[in-house]
Amino acid sequence: MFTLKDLRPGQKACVGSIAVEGLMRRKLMDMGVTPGVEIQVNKTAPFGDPIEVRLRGYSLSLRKKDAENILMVQ
Amino acid sequence: MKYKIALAGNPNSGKTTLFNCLTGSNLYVGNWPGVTVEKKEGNLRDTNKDITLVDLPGIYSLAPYSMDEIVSRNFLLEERPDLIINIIDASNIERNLYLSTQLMELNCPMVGALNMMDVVKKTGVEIDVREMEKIFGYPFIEISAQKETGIDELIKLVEKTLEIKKLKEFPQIFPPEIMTLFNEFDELLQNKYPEILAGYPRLFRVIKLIEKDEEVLLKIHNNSDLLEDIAVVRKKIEVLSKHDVDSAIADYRYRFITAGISQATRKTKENAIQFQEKLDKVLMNRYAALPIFFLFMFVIYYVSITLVGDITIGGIEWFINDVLMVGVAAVLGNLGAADWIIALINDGVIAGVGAVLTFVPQLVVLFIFISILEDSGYMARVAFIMDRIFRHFGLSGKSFIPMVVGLGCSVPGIMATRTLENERERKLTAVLTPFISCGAKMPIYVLMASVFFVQYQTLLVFSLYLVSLTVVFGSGFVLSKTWFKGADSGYLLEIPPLRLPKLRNTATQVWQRTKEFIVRAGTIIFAVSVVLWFLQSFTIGFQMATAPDESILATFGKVIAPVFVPLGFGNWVASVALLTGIAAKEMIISTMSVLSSGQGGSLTQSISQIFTPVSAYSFVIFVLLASPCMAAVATMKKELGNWRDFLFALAYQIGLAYAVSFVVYQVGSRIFV
Repeated sequence: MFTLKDLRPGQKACVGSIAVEGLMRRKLMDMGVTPGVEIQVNKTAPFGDPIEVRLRGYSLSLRKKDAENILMVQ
Repeated sequence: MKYKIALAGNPNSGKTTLFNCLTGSNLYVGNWPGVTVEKKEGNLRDTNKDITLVDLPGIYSLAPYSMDEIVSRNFLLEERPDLIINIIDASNIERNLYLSTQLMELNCPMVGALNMMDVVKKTGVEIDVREMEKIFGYPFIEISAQKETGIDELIKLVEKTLEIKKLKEFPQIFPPEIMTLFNEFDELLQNKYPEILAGYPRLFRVIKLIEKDEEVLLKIHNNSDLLEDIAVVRKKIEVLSKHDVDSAIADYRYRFITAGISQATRKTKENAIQFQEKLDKVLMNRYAALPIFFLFMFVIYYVSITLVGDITIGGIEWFINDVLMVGVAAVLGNLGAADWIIALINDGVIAGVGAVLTFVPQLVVLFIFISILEDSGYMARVAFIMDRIFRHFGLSGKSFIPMVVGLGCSVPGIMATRTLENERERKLTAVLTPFISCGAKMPIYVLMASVFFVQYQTLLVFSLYLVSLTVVFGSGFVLSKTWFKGADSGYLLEIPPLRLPKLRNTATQVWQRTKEFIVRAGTIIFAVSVVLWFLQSFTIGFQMATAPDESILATFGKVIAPVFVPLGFGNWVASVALLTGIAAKEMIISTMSVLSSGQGGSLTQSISQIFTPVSAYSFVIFVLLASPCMAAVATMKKELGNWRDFLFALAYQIGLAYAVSFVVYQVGSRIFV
């Protein structure tokens, strides 16, 4: 099992399940992070966090602490 | 017949640009009833119908996470517009249509404006609008708000749709087995709880109850029977979808969209890497990002303050003092006007208003830069870069956006805090934003610099911005652990593609901000200048004052001046200037100008008499940090909501300004004797 945080820039995988809690969970889903969607990691911010990912044809940035609760499947 | 229609869409979908296209220049800005959010309204142009267009805040969904979302949703639910123009960024169509699937549940006639079609066509994608209408159940039209194409067709489509009497049913987004559950639950609601959310659209009510939407839950007042019934449906959905309810509902929506657009769009060619992407790589480079940001900031302030200031200030001052005032005196003298009238007009009105207008060219340039930063998509990138740092100070990268807007004016800056979802973070940002120096304070720094720090003007102003950043971070760190304690809200931010700002949009924004500045000069500052002139021309016994320090104003200034002695500016002129600065920060210079012309000296002369370099620096620090003008204070009160936080914020801002100026003066005056 690996998470979105484990992907390096340029790599992609599909979302398995979202273990983020609370408000952030719903916001992620509204932004299109739903089970089965393919996400590619674009880059890491200059200070190492947050990360920028690409999904559904647009770019979204989120913190590593949330990325590590998004479980991915190949 | 009068129509009211709403413009709804995601942030970054080009909503403002479209709004300007659709209304021309006849827009006005007001407040929402009840909630204090800026509402833009305008009349639709090129139509013979009476149609008012309301610009809703940009939102991603109808969930009540941020104030913007709550405001938009309440408007759509309670004011029931006659039609919704759903603007969709076609270059990001999948995510944009997510909001559309929610708007479809409101049972309101809708028109889809597929924006940025010029960009989409360049990337080799074709969208079949007829197919889109078949799938989503409402008509679409291709437009480019930036290039102003498709606007007339959109207006025609709006007119045509308004004439349709019977609303076509929107297609079903959810699979039949889920719809059956929804319908059963709806029947149950109608039979068992007919009074619950009675006026709401049917499907919206069902889904929001099942989702246990926070705002909706507030309205059912812990009805435990209903909550039990909701739990039963939720369980059934979880069994059917094999997901929890939240992911299931979001997932069904996105599945409907993906299936729909794969049917309605066609990719004709692979697109090459565009210039914007290359530029993005440089701007966001691990090592270059931060230096580039500071370079931008430095250039902005160098150009607007030093370069433009050098060119314009001398000329404008010459015009005001040597042409306008001399001319007024000559003309009025010939007409036989009394000396005091000439003095009132010259020393009161022209000196006061003129001192402020001198700085208009510099502000225009500053506003141009800020508007470009806002429109280009660079702001989101800076938030992305800064998040790691802001996090340590109880804020998120998103707090940065209100602060950059606050460079122009604190009022829109404080209002921009609405995009922050977390209440604690929003309030904290609203309290910290006034510490970011607004455009109206800039003339004071420039003036002081031109008197005392001629060779180091840009450096002095830049040092003030560093002071303000230090105060923002320091205060954020302390306040987030004390007064505004609470959970971290998290960070989730769309990074829009870099875009070349549209000239007309920049011009509109710059014009609106400048106009506001000039209008204030013509109203508040005009009135205060006249009052000030009277107060400083007469003694308490209402005799014409022979010496300036006999005047009513001087007497009053002398009472409060001792408070500022430890800060180095215990002079009554400075004290009065600070007081009038509460009305508007521009008043500080006007006041000093009016008072010094009453004393027969030029503004710069009297400033060099009142201040020393150290006390001048202490003074600008106090102006920078102390509570902002009335307008910003009032906005802060609205955003904070309660008196407790508001009074604390005021006391904190004034207390901190006093403390920092105290230290600057006490230490500075010992080093530079």
